[in-house]
Amino acid sequence: MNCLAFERLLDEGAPDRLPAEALAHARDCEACARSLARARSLERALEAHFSSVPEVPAGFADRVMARVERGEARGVRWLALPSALPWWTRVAFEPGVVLALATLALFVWRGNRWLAGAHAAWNALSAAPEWVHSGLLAVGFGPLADLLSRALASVGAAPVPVQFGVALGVAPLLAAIAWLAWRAGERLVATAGAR
Amino acid sequence: MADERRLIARAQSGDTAAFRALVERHQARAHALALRILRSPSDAEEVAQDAFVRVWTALPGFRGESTFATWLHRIVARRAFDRVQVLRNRHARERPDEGLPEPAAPAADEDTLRAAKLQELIAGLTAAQRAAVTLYYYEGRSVEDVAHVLGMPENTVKTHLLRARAALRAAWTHALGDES
Repeated sequence: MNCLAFERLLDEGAPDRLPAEALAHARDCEACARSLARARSLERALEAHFSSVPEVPAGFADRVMARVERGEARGVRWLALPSALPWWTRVAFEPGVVLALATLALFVWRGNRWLAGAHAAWNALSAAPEWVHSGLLAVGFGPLADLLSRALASVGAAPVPVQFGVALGVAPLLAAIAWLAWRAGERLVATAGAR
Repeated sequence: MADERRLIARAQSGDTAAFRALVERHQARAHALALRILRSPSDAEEVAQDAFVRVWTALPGFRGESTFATWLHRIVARRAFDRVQVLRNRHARERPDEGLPEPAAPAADEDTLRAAKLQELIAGLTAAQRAAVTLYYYEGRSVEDVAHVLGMPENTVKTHLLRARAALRAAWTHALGDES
């Protein structure tokens, strides 16, 4: 051990926990012994300095609570508090619900074009090999597609107030489906995380 | 600890009496940390108050991933660093010829010469060094904990501690030399 390494050890801290090799060096080196004594006295002074807790200003807690009770940032806390919002408001903020409503709005706006596209796709599929066609019919896609086509074609052609009414009627159903899907997804993630 | 968890749960659901109990329990250390970083009693009180108001706001989202004290101290340290920056900028605008000094020191209340000298030496450290030294010595936290509270990598905290110790040691040696 040389003096430079000894100084570095002192900078790294804990002069009371120096290795035996460093202590042996300090015994033989007067300058390092002085450094060690000063480092120890600094350590004691720091401990004494930091063990004295400065007094908290009188009435500190009262002033904090006055700010809290005055309602500083109450709105922010209210929004952050899960139980502060009624369930129907929270549902409206769920991403799944927002996505479902946005999709519905797009559907009402451009639904007839989508249906035309779906019909074209279905017609194209009818030209596909027989086993593809029968497979889709077997899983219920054909009747479902026909049903949706018939139901929504009339909506697409209806006046705007009718479309709006249909949207209002369907929105809660879609919101509930999206909500359930969202919760199920959360449950799956939580279960996977818990493993 | 269980008692503290109960207080936190009650405060999370909006119980201000429980929050007051938490404030009273943690105010000394939060205020001390702010004071040791800022060295100005009025700024320290304002920062500590802001931190508690922020804690109240964010409490519903507190999941207990760290202890309440660690979380609180992180908020205090962040706010104190922000305040140091604001004070520096203000000082630089008002007195551009005087460089970038630290905020003004409070009225001294040391009772020994050595304590006064140490106070002066600690005042000469940067805000981040003072925060690291405060948490390490005063809170008795590990380097890992200090890094967590200050939101810094462990190596940065080690560097702050190393530089702070080296600076303190050099100044301490000089001060002891002046005394003798």
